[in-house]
Amino acid sequence: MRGDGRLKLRVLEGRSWILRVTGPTPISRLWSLVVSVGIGFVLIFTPTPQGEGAALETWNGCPECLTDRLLEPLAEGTPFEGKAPLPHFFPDEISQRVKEAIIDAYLGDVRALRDHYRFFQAKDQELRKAKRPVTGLADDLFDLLANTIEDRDRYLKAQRKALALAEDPHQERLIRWRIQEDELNRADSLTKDTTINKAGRLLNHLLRALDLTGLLLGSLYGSALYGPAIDSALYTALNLDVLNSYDGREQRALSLYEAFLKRHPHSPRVPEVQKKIQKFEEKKRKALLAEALKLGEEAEARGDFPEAAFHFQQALILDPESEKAAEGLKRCRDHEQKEKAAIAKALSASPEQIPSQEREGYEALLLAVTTRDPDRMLTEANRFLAQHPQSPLVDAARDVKALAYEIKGARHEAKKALQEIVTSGRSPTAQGRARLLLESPDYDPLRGLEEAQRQYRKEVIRYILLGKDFVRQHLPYAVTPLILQGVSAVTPLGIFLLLGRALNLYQVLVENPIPRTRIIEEAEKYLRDHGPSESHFGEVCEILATAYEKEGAYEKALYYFQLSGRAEEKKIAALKEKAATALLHLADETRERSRKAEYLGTVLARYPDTEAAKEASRKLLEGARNEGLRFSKKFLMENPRLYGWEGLRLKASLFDGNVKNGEIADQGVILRWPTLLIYFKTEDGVQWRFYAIEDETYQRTALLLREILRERALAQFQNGNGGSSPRSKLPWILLEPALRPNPLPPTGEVASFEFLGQGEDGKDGKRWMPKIEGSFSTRGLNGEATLPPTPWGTLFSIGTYNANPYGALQFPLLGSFLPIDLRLEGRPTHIGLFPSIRTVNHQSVDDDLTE
Amino acid sequence: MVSLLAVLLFAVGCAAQRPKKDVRYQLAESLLEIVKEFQRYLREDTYRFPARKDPSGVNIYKATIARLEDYERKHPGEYAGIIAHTKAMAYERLHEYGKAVTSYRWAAELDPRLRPQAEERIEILEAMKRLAEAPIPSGDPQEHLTALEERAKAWRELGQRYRGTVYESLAKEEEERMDQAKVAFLKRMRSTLAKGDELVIGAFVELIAKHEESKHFDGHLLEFGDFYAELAKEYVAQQDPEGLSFDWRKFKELEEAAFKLYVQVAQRDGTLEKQEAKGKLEALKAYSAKIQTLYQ
Repeated sequence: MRGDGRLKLRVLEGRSWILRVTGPTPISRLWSLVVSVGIGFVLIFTPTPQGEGAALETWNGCPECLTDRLLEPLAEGTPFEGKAPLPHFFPDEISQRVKEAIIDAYLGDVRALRDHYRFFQAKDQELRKAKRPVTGLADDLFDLLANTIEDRDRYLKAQRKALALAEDPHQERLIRWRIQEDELNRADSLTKDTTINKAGRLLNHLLRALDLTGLLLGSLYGSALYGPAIDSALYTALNLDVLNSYDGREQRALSLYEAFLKRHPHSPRVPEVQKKIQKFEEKKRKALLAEALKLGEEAEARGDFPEAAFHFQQALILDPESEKAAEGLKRCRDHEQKEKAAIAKALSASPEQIPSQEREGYEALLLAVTTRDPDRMLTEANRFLAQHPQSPLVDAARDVKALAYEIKGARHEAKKALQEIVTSGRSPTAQGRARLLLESPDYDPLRGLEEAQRQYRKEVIRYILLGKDFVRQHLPYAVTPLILQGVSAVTPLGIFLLLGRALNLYQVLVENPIPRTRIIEEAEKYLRDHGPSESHFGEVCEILATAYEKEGAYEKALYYFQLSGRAEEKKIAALKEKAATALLHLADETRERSRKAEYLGTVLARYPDTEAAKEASRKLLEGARNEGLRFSKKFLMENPRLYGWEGLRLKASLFDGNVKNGEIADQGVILRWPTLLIYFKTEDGVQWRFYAIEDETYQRTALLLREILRERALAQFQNGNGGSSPRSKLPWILLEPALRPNPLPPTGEVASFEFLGQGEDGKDGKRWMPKIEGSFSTRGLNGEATLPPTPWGTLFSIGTYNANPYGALQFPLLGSFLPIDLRLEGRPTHIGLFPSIRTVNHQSVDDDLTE
Repeated sequence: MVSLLAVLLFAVGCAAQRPKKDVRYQLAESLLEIVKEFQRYLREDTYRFPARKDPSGVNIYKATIARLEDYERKHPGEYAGIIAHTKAMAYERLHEYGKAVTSYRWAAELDPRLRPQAEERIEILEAMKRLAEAPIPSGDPQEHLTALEERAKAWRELGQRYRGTVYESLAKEEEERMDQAKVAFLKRMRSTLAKGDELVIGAFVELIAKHEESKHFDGHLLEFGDFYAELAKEYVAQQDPEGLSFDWRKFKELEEAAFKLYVQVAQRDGTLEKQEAKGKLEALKAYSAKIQTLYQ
């Protein structure tokens, strides 16, 4: 039906009817317009509709100006330029030469390419002399030539030369990226970064005691620096292991060195790279060995011997000579053997000798138990106990009673019988077994859960008292005052420790640092094994719900609160709101429309009565209208090719700020084959309108968009934001259907994504703000803000150091030439200047390959 | 006071945990002890719950048979009827119907007091044995499938006949095995059958819908997820992700189906399959990331 005009009827705010007119040709649209105006007049005199549809849609312009909206928002009638002539940049001779050069490049004819390059060089010189526009193709030809070189070193040399010749900024970026993408260059750069970071972080702690102002004044600035110096030295000593650690950057560097060897096996740098690989392999082996040993020892300590054996075995694979691993594995094997022997023993029966006078009673008991008849069991047990009160089988008879009560479901009586064995049993074995039974989940179903709760409380108290790493956190702060002030430092140290505990308590109350995983697992286990008829069912549901709520799993919390039947309506309503709000946040965080719609739909379906549902409903409607690839006006203006003749072919006047000749609104356009929805800024507000577009336009725009995204990625790479590889996963995937012969996938699913200009994105919008990070801990308040790169400062920080507050501004000493910064630090007693090694913060986007 | 508290706090930080005493392994003191423990841990609903473990961590049915055999070695001929009866109960729960019948026959013969109960069970177990041992035609796939369905139906009917007893649970377990066998057969044959993949998916859906109460339910979900993951991998093997004919959405559909099934299990706390599901999720995530990198 693509040749027909289309008519759509919408209800706006329950008061007006809107007809939307679309069509691929002006005639079809005109015809639809005539029909719609007719219907529109009929509808105006029809009673106002009420009900569900009435509140579904809102109009951003004026809802009452119906006739305005039925008319074109553009005076000229179409926002599109006419068909553009085919581009013709160069005279035929140049054009012919370019074609030949491309063919020669495919054929690998380097000599011919060199001739073409010389031709374009000469041509441009000639044109320059004649003061005519140059072709600007010489650097492209050089680039083409450079790309035919297979030898890495010569290739990079040629790329550097091409970089010097490049005039086009895009080409310059591309060549820079090629040079930096070289495996060896990247690996070397990563290695350098790692060394600087590791050593820098440690040394910076030492350097914080080195006040350059004191040195410049010719003294060591008195004893004020001794305290910090001891602190720093201690901190450094405690963290020296960092130097031997094997981090993600080194993992990536190793893989890049290996890739280099694979790609360039005959390079003269192979021996050097092989040495580096060996060094990294050794480091990696040591790091993995240490990790495996640590995990093995941890597992052994908690009694998980199979897990410990697994890690020790891994350690032995890494280092067959490791004594620690061999000993650990031996311990595990010994334990396994002992356990096997114990089980074998437990599976055997001890010889029994029943006194002849008790034999009859014993047989009767056996038979009753074998036939699983509880009444008979009770009768026979009581009879046996009455007849043979001194028999060694008394405990067994009491246990038969307990079993009979168990079968009958009389758990309380069974418990009493077992307790009797524990308190007055004759055999220690029987007593032990009875005790074991009483502690089992059958007799004490809440035991596991109570144990988990106890353990949690213990961990909380431990956290409040000791924090995460007591020694590492406190030793540097305790030792210095003790050395400098002696016993008199103990009181302030005590106050400092108490303050620390208060902060830990605050964290427990607010941040939930100890997970409730075990409580959840035990409670789930209880509920799985026990039905709602169990007396503790509601209580356990409530415990589980509370645990889930604290962990932020609101949906599960809600489910179990409802199941417990104990929660008040108010509590349920609050939880519903929390769960719905959490889903709303998830929807806000994703820019993938289908997922967004899924989250919002879930809010509406599950929590229809919440405030969040109203918000979800609004967002869902907005999203449905905006389905497709949305380009904001700002994005279009930043990428004029996209709306120009190469892309959507929109008139340039739509972007000149003049509303009278038609102006695109900030919302921009939405491309959804076979239509383009354009938002117009008019004197009556924002109006929108659909236009049909041809396949060719859609395909062309999609291809151009890929190119633009590639350029964006390259620009990000150059600015150091994109890491080492210019890739942006989502848009590529979304654009994929556009490259198919039939742009619409069979499911009818639409590639949906928003392309926003700089600063329009919520995250981008905060770019003008410095990046602020900080912490509030026992060490005090610490915070730092990364400033935009200027020679006057790159980092501003405040905090406490050695129990003194400070504010500091960090600036580069010699720009990017030397990775050393200076910190101008203001403390209550003085202002100092401290050196600091600049660490590298950018994150590799290839982390997924190295984790 | 504050100083004292500070020193105390520091000392607490260095405190170590005390080891606990292990009381799991205790030798059975008498035959009564063995039979008692067996009866205590006997679980009637074998379909919904896995077999119980004795305190040493061994399956109670297997542990009881081992202990009784040891007792028989040490006391030949003593309480033979009771031992045979108890062993029969353990065998039937291990789906060893033939051995259970033999043991019940012994029990009935050796101890007349056990005869009524044993004879009643022999009748049921013989029916179960016949059903379990009847051959299933394997030549024609359709014939094989029909036979599996009929066998599942027969087990269901048998279970309904003995509702409320352990035999209902045992029959349900057998019915579930038949449904699993159907899925396994279709999985094996899918390349030769028209719409083979759809048939497997249908069989999985049926298995999951029918056995929601089963102790193996999470395992079925994981297997279903594995099947979707296998389909995704097969698709990758057929269409090179680096080539133009690779359809990302088609791959994603299969990957997401597997993902959703794994998530269901990974989110269920306190189950044996939770860790396995979490591992599978991680593996699937890594695989999907690899394919995306190759594709784009």
